[in-house]
Amino acid sequence: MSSFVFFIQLLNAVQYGLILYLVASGLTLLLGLMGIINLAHGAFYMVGAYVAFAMTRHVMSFWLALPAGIVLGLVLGALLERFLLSRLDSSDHLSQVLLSFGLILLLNEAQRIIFGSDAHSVSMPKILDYSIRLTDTFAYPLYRVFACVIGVLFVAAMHLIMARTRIGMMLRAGAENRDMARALGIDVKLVYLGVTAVGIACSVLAGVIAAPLASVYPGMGDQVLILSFVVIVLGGLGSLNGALAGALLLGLIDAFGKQFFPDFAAFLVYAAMIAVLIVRPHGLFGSRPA
Amino acid sequence: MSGNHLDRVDACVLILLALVAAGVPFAFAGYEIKLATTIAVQAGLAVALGFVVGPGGMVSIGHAAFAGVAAYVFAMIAPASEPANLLSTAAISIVGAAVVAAAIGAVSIRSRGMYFILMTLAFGQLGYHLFHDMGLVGSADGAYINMRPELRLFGTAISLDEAERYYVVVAIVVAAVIGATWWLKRSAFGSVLVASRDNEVRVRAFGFSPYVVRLIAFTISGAMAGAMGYLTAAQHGFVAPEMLAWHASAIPLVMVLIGGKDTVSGPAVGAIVLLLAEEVLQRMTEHWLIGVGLIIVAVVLFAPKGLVPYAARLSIPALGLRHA
Repeated sequence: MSSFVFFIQLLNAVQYGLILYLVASGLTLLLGLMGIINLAHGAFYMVGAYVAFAMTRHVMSFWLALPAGIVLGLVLGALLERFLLSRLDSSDHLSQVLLSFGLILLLNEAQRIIFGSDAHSVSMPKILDYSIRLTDTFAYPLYRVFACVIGVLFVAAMHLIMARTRIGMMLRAGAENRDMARALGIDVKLVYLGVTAVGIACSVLAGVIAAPLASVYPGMGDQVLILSFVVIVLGGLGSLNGALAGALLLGLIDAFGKQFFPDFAAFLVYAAMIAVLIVRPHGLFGSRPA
Repeated sequence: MSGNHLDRVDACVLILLALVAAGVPFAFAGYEIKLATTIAVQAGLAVALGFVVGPGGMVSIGHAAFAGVAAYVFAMIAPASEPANLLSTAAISIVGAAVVAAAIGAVSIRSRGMYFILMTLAFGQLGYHLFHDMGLVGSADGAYINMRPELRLFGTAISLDEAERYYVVVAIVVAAVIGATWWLKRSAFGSVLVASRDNEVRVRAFGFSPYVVRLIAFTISGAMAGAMGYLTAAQHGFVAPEMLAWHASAIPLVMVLIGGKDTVSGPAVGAIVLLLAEEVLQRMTEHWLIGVGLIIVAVVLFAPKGLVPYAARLSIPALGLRHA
């Protein structure tokens, strides 16, 4: 394999990994902090992709889809927490599984009613619809670089917020020991509302960004959901650093697996997860059972 | 609510279901019989899963893999141009499913909680990709079983091509699975299984290995799921990789939770409610999934323990029982 192909696959791996991290970070925060399993997380990714589709098709602007997706995600997340999740017992994972499965059906069907069952492509924003020529035969799409940049900015922002701010401190305290955080005067309800809203918004944003890279189609959230779960299990439930490591690892397995063993790529992803869990039952960065 | 009352309601629901199942061949014909066959098989799968989810405390999103493995084993061993022998091919398929369940269980049961859920999910997806991407048997589209197996008893071969006859066989097998689950749950083994779920340390102190107890329960449940996979394959004459995928595993889990995981009849009730709702809603609207989704959300909010425990609670004042 030439170094160019290697380099391109590496970029693809990182870009794919960062998109997965965008989805998985919300999933792992919800799980670590609130003990909530949200199967509908992938469906919100689909919502984001369709926001991008609708905006490019009807408003002719991809850029508007970014803020629109974030706002929609925040609203949907807040509604979800306020009217559904807060009614459930946080230790009753099975009710959450059932509820979020019901939500998947509702969101998928709402998508079908509004947009129909066909797959659509989403055009890239004009300014990014350009390929960087690397050699005579290889070029790299600028849009993928843009997706990488957004992903890196997101990772940096997440890290700064968690490590340096008061909110980050509250989140870490809540994840470590929910009851103690409450006893120290942290308004856990408000934190939960905020985390759900932001977590869902991240997933929607990931969908918006990923939309021009692949087609949008009904049920497209399913695969992302499963892969995000693989990511957070690989990394250790509730760990943001673990989710980043897991996402990049999955990106590498996917990109190079497709290159070398096209028939085995998907198989390798699950085999890797099982192997990691056999050696480290709580994932790479996890320390405690969830 | 006392456990005894819930047990009595559970038993009553099972008897009711048995009576309804026995009446189906007399009341219906044609399409309805096929629908009843499908519902019965799904109910059996849900009850098998309910046994590990409820008493076992092991939430598996990979049980369809065991049904799928049995179906594929059957597709491999079924003769191309004559009906297979139901009893022998079913036995081989179920053993195949049990072996796979034991192997997957041996690895997965070491992890607990969320990790267990996702471990079983990963194994199910692994199986899906094994059959879908690599075409282990047939192709990505699936494999055909040309003829429905026949029942060979005492030297006579009974054809099961007729829908009514096949329904009777399915109903008997599903009843056996439900009966076995009821008995297992109440056996000494069932008590140790429930105890392992509730207090692992004490079970160890009594000299039992929770790991081994769970593994046995998981394997038995996998074998029962395998029986249902065999029946599905024999009914449709077709197996597909999608039979193993996570969606096929999530739906029986939804059935278990809708009906109530802490009862034997609950998962069967969940299967019936979900599939009948689907059938009715499909006739009313193209967007029937909205209705199914709303039903699921409503059950979570109003009957979080499931429909059968909910009915048991409602029946307390009706029967003049005191709250215990």
